[in-house]
Amino acid sequence: MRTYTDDELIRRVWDVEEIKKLAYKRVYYLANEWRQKELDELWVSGPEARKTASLGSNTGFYVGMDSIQNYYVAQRGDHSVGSLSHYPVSTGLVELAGDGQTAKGLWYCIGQETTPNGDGTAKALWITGKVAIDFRKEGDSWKIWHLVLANDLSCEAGEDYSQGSPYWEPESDPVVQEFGTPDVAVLAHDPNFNWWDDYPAMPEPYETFSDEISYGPEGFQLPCNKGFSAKEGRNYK
Amino acid sequence: MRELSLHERIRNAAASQEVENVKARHTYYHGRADATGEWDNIWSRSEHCSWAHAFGRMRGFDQVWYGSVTQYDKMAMENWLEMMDRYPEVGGKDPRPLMEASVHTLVTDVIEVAADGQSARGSFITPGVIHSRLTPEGEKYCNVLWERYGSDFVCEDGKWRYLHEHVCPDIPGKLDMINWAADEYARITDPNPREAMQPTLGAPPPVTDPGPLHCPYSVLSKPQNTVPWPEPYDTLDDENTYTPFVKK
Repeated sequence: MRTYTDDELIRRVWDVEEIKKLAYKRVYYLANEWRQKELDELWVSGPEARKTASLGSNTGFYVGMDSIQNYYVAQRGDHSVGSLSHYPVSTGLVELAGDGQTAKGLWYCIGQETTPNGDGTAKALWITGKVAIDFRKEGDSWKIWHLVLANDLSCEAGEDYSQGSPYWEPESDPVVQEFGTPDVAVLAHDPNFNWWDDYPAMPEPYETFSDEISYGPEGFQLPCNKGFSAKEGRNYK
Repeated sequence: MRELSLHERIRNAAASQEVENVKARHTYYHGRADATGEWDNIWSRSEHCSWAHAFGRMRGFDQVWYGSVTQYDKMAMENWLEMMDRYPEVGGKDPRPLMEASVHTLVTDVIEVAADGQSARGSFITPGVIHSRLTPEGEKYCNVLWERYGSDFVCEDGKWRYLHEHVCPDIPGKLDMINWAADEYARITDPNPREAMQPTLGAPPPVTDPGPLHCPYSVLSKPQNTVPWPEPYDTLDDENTYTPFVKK
């Protein structure tokens, strides 16, 4: 384990607090539907980092800032009227690299998502899941590089969640439908088995960033034993 | 508490962040019902370690391991065996996370690191969710459980580890389907006696300090400040702990 001088240590403490603030600010940007502003101000801007930036969910990843912008902003259009969503994060676990150039963080979100239906009504959901982020230092600022929103459940407000099929069915899940068709289509988190797939996993202390530990698609690995898909082995009676 | 030097303040600021991480790791291990991972990786092996809930307090690593790992794994295995007929796809998977995702999120941290830098204490509120899809009954569920934590930590060979945990359940119920005040009133005024919703899984494990150490909400009770936030302190002792030490 590295040892740090007081000067190095207080800089690291400061960096971790800045990283936590960045993750919290994103929550406010989303609550205000400032999606383009979020990408412009909170995400990486360097040319190389822009190419490898990613936004992931249960069913895959958008890769590159242009693709992320297309999904996250352009395709959605302006839905700000009738929208109000809060994705507050808690249970923060932040690991700053030994070299101080990157960091990894994991949070949990118990949030609400309210979106207009287009006919004057709106849909209100409870939504829960992990939020995993890789951060990268650009100059003196910390920026979001890879982000994964691993949804555990969504439930219409006021409805009894226990009713209906126990299976998570991507075909009818509003979060999956909204996520569309990502660049890298892969079943990254299958909530049918709770947290069995351990994705995204807790960050561990590390010295320097590498693809193997990325929250981007390059760091995703299938669980080591078989039977990952809920539909595999389901039908024998 | 004595005045700290700049070096000590920096050391304790970093320690406070480390303790936040240890506490969060508890949540993520527990969310996978990975009791082995939790007690193996983030707990002290001290004879002084303890884990308490409404039912009482387990003391010493061996008793805590028996109650929190051995008994917990047993429940997970039983749940897995019961699920197999209905959901054959659970075969071949780790039975533990299939039991449920018990996600005790952490907010409102108050963390104090001792002046001597060898221990830390924290209080937290957890507005948690506990959910599972595939169950022996064939019905998915999501419960909410609001609790308080009082946690003591120790620094061992430069690594922060749990020493004491005291869990205080306040409000259990189903997501978006409960009125804990009305439900409790209905329960206690029902002419046919009914048990309160249990805030833990399964039967209570063996304990050294019997409970109840904290009771969930009741219309008949005042709030219980069972695990008050820590005040600045010099060293972990009986005046500054969530588990008084047993003198030998």
